[in-house]
Amino acid sequence: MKKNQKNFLIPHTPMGIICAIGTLIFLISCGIAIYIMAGNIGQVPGIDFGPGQYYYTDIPGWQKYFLPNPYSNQVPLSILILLFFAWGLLMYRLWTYLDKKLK
Amino acid sequence: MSKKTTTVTPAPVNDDVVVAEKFHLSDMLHKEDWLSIWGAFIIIAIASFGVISGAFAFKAGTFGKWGSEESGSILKFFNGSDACLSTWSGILLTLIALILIFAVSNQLMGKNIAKYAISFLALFALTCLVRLISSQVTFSKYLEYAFWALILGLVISNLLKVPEWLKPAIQTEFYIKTGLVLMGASVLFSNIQKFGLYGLGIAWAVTPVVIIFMWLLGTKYLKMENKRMVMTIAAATSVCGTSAAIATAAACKAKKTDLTFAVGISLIFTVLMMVGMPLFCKVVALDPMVGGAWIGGTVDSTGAVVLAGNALGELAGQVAALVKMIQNILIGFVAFAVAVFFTTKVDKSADQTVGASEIWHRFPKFILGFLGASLFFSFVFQNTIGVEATAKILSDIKEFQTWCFALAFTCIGLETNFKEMAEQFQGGKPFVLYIVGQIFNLVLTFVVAWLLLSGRIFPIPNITV
Repeated sequence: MKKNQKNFLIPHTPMGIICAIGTLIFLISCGIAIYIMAGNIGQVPGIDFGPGQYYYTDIPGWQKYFLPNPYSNQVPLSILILLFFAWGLLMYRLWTYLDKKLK
Repeated sequence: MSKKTTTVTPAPVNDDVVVAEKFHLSDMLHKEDWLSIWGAFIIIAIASFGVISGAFAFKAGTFGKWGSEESGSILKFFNGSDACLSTWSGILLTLIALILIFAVSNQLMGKNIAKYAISFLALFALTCLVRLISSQVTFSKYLEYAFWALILGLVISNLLKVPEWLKPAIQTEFYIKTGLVLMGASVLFSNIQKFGLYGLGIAWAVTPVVIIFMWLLGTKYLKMENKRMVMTIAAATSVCGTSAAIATAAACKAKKTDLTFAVGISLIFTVLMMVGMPLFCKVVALDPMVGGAWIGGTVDSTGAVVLAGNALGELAGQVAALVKMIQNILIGFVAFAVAVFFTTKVDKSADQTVGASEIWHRFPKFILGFLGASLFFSFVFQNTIGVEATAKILSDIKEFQTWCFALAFTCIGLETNFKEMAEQFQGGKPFVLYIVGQIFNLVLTFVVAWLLLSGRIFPIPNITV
């Protein structure tokens, strides 16, 4: 019984060690995140939101940040759309290819 | 070997997974996917009519912030003041609108409308509590409803017991799908031109590469059996956190615990990155434009992106917002690609070929509503009623979307037990997947942002601040 408990707590395989490190990093990150939240750290004067606003319309007064056009784009929309779909299709093909090839 | 078209092996069937069935035309009036589209479209149509006609504002109610000297105490919602009455009347309107849509949909799905309505009232009350808690000034900035909905639901389901009469309203997927179709309206494809080739390069070139890397890492190297969890975490990391996780989880029919893990990990690391990345950029004296693009392309939550970007300065804040805006467009297309990938590659046996009709049968139809709303608002509404009016409509329907997601996360909490969550832990593999994937995302996005915006290769874009 004691031996089993030892095996459960101490990782013996490389994968087990990697996972244990990952879990440890996550737990430390939880602690740091709680510390940040408790101390209200990372705030910027005049901005009253943060990670809790998951999506852009969740941000109070989102129009102020997302409606203006601060960059004058010279590339036609059709070209951008073409590139968007071409890259998307290429990546999808790569994804299916690698998923099939790699074991 | 000759290829033959056969029926695909269905996705794992259990209570936690949404399963597509053969399509019939009548499904459009009786199936959850289609009803979620119609329900969301009704809300969008009423809100749009209200804005265009100028006759009324059809928007859901919510709690204002509380818990600071400026915002006042929680008691302001219970003291009978004008603000109190205004808050509760808005929430009552939300309740009426949602119960009508969901109860009628349940009736069309052949369920008992009376039982559903009673249980929905209780679920809505719980969700009200969630939204009230998450409106506290600090909670609203850092965590918001998803975290508190999961916590409240988990406490009730694990420490107490979910009563039978409450169960008819626990329909996580239905609320998620309705919320996602509403969200589709705000995914404005026309924003792709806001930062031209620079934005496309940073947001779109990197995202699919990170998804592929994380998929291969999770399924081939870490050998995670739960591929849906791998996909959900990959989308949350590479696209935009919680919103992308919700859409992708629904598209690949992930388990509720998969979504819980993805959202939980994403929220924790977003808080860290929001504080750490601007600090790092300042320490190494990184160019604000490169730093802003780096933050915009890697920090998960949009609110955290704007905040972290502005911590580096106004220019960085503007660039971060531009990049994130383009990443937000990707949600629908990534969800679409994931749905096709799982339909044709994952949910079938090795020797089967999936025909076009089978893809259609199994495809999660609500994504069509999501993309339809997105394309309509991007190319029809914006060009006819104008950007300002479109933005007003989006602001009005936004709270309905939040209520739908808050209802969904409360349901997830109510349906999840700690034992089930422990089983999904897989020795810590989801954490390794997220951490390694995020490091890869950070490095790749930095390289692309530096190549495009440092001025070494391409001209530096002129951004007006």
